[in-house]
Amino acid sequence: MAAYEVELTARARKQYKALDPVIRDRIRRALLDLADDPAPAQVKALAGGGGLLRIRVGA
Amino acid sequence: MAYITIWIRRLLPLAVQASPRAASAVCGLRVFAWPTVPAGPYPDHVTEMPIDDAAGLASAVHDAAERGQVVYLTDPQGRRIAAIVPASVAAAGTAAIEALEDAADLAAGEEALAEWDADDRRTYRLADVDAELSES
Repeated sequence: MAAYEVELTARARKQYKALDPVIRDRIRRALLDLADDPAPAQVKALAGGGGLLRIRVGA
Repeated sequence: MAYITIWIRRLLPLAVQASPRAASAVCGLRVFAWPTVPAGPYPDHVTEMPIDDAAGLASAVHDAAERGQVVYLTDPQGRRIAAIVPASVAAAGTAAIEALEDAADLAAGEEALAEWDADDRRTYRLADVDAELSES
């Protein structure tokens, strides 16, 4: 069972649904990985971001 | 070239969660595309050469390494599509780009979080959103 429940904001939900299906699948897999580990090695903490983290998925 | 940034904020730290799934992470997306570089004019110390000029590439690399020369490589239409630059210039450019991207991501994340606050912190479970997509 995943450690985290991944939730999207309204804006992210809208953007996610509008993505090309192939790209959306890549994003889905990245999000599901985050549910297991929300801070994997490739995540970067944004300086001055008060806990905001960033992960990139190539497109 | 483009990529999608996923920003994440954990809503509860792991240390205080009551059960493993009590914690959640709110995520947002931001699509980023590399900006195009405007065409010249360029300083005198910058030169150009066709990208298929194989014989000239080695010379351009030496010029970059030894004299700090920047050489733009052009496509058949004369558009600058790549460059040979000294490693120090590349490192400085990469650092500058990363700083700009960090600032843009931070601004986008903070804007999205403010919007999320204004939306009474409403969230949508990823599984539910995927279910909506499969039904449509």
